[in-house]
Amino acid sequence: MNEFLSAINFDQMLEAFAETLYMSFGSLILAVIIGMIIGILLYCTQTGGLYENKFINPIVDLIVNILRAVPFIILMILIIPITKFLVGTMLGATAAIPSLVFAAAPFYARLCVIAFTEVDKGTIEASKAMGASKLQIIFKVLLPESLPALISGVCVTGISLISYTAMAGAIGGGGLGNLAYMYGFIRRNNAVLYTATALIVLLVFIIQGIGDRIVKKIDKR
Amino acid sequence: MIELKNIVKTFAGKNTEIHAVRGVTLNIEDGDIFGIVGYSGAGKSTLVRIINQLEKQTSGEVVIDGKEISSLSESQLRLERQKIGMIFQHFNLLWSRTVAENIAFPLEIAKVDKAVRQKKVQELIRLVGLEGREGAYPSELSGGQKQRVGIARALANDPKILLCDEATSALDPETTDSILELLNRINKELGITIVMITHQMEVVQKICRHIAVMSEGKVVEEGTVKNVFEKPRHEVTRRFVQTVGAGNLEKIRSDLKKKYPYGQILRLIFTGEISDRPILAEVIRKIDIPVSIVSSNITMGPDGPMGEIYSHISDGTQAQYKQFTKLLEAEGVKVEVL
Ligand SMILES: Nc1ncnc2c1ncn2[C@@H]1O[C@H](COP(=O)(O)OP(=O)(O)O)[C@@H](O)[C@H]1O
Ligand SMILES: [Mg+2]
Repeated sequence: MNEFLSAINFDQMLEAFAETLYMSFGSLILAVIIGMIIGILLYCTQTGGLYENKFINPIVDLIVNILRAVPFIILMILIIPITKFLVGTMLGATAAIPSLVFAAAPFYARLCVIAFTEVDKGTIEASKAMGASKLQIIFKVLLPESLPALISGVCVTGISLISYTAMAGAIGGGGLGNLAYMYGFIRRNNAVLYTATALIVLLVFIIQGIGDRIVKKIDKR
Repeated sequence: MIELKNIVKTFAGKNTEIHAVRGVTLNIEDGDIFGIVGYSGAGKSTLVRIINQLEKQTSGEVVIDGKEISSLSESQLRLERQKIGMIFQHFNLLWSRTVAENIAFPLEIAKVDKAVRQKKVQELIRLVGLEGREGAYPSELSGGQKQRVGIARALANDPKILLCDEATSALDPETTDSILELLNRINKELGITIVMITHQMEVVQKICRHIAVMSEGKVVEEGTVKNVFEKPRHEVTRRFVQTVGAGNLEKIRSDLKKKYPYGQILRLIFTGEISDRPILAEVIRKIDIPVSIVSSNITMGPDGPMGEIYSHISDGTQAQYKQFTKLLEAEGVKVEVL
């Protein structure tokens, strides 16, 4: 056991953990904001939607589908120019964030559309009948009525982001994934490999647990 | 007054056009309770949705209190809609809001001050009899209670018109009665014009003053409920008049069973195609057992009596009961043993 523990550099492990948190949550916040805006746009411009638009809808839909189809590891390489432009470098935790957002925002946008589609059309119709404006319908009906699904979508997105950060880490983004790869795989340090894995699993469980609890509390259906 | 002038609504179907409403002209007076009945697919919902412009008509005019509302701008239309309440078959409440918050919703939309809002919500909760349930969520309410929330919400901005699309169709007979009573009271006390869409004739019979019968996108018969019930002219109307009570059968059955736990309870259905000889009297004389008529809604159709009679027979043998049924059936009366 002592042997196992002595093989781990705790400062390094802690720093990697902090980097993973930073990459995951930083990109999650941005991905959720951008994804929700795209989701609202997609939902509202579809046929029969509040702002039906036969031009914008298919274009945004196509972009979202393309971004979702490109494997993350390729996406990271493809958007290196954008990362360099935004962050100035392609190394380090901050540099991982643009590619994480590019991957997660379209994913969350899809989850938002699914959540909005589940909102009872009858309540939207009732709101129209009461004289609600389109913006009132979005902010007072669509978002509150789909909130549980939107929140569980945040969890699902957050969890996939954690596994993306591990991949981003392997390419030089830092974090637990980088640590596990550099020390665990290349230097065959099993203690580091297992501990890093355990920390990632723990993080996923915590996010899922918190998410489930919030959803359960606000879901009054 | 609501004036519908030659309303046509055509939907683009997959292959052919669907003419949901085919030229309907109707006048609905202020303070009336106006029933629109017809079978499913007759175009009732489409017509009522044209009144508040949830659906734009293909041609024709909707004039409310002298104002052509299909020509209003979007923001004018929103203001107009705040004065037209609507309730629905499936209530369409917001599940994420409590009873009080659901009722406050249309007031928020109309940008009413919070203090005024709260006072109004309290009044409405009292009006619909939901005291003590303010903080409940819709999922914790019964169907009848949900519809009461729907009604309170529809009345929040003091509308002059209340549109009801199958508002009682998802409710059991007792609850239907209590909701109809509430609507009746609202009509009397607040003077609100009510347009009731339904496929249940007994709903019309209970609260409407005027009625229009729709079939295949057209109004085929129209008039006071009394006149239409007494002299149904159109085939569809006749079938409707006959079904009065049919939806209520379960309740009638259990009520009668409670009242007459012995003997037999029969439902005699007169389809209007039998002679106007005093059939019932003749049959009763032949079998010689006590027959009491416990309820009836027979009207004289053009070809003879129509409607149904509930009767109770007792103090005879099983053979006599059977004989009674046979004799009536021989005269063209349909008999059901309840
Ligand atoms: N949005 C729509 N698109 C196409 N067809 C419709 C639409 N709404 C209603 N219809 C059609 O119009 C006809 C009348 O429907 P509706 O007004 O709902 O009848 P009712 O309320 O009397 O049952 C039906 O044939 C229905 O399929
Ligand atoms: Mg309908």
